[in-house]
Amino acid sequence: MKRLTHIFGIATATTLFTVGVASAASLGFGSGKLSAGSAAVGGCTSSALTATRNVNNSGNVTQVTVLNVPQTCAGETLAVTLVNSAKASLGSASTTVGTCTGGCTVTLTGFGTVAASSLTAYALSLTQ
Amino acid sequence: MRRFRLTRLRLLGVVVMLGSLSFAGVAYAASLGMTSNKLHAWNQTLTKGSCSPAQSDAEIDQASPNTNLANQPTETVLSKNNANSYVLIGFNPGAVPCSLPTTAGADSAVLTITVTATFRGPDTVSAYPVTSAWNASTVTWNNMPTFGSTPDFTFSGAGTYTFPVTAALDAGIKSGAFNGWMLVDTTGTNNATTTIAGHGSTQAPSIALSYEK
Repeated sequence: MKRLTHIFGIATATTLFTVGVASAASLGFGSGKLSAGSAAVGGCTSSALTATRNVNNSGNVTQVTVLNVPQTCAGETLAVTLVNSAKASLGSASTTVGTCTGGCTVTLTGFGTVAASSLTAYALSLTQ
Repeated sequence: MRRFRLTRLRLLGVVVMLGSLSFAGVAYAASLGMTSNKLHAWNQTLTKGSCSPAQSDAEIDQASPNTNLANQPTETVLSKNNANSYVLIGFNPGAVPCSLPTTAGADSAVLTITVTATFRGPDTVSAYPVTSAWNASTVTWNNMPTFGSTPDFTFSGAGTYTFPVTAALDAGIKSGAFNGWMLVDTTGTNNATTTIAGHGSTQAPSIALSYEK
């Protein structure tokens, strides 16, 4: 009877752990890819903020500016990924939102050499 | 059917098992950064397009400082003692047909200018970025706009020229006020002229603009 109890316990633990991993994998974390639409889980804002980019005369992105970030987001990490038409990343950068009065304008650099003509979308996130 | 008896040993086993699983779950969640962090994620999709911004130009003459010469078929840059002439060329990406908002941007912009004739020289003409607003139908020598001290591009002699002006257009779109360029003879040969095809011509200055918004 004691052995049967041990076997039952091990089987239960294994099953629960497997379910946990399977659940995480179904969210796409296992492959390192995150697919997100527009989802707000708490945080400093639920609004979709607007990003613009500057270019040089060669048409390459020199910086990305995110407009009107609420001042309540100060201290959070703002990440921006430049995405092409195949939904692949062309480059990404992140920075900490500084303190400001009213809506903050946050500038990010360091995306590498990215042709603005290839850029079809921005993927943005704010993490507390 | 046998009754399952909850002995002290079995209860201890269950507590240890649940504790272990709970700890493992939290550790795994922490590795994903989800234990306490709040995430707000969104996408911003861009629309691509192309257009040729509305264009205007004007010649301003030091010898006739209150005369407006807007949108002529030709505009002349002149170097002459106390009687210089400059040419302003402007584009408005915010107006029809482009109608771009200030959140838009230039992916590429190429300016085309045609010089139809020169006299003496040919002198070098420098294009300085204009830094204040002007109106083609009212601008004169006496109320000319301010302009920068470093030219964006130069040209000399007759012919058709193209210049990449992506950065200037991109900045102009975002500011909501692109003021164009002032063309000035920077060689200084007395009485040298450079004649530009103007707004009233089929070869008027134009910009091939590819944009996102």
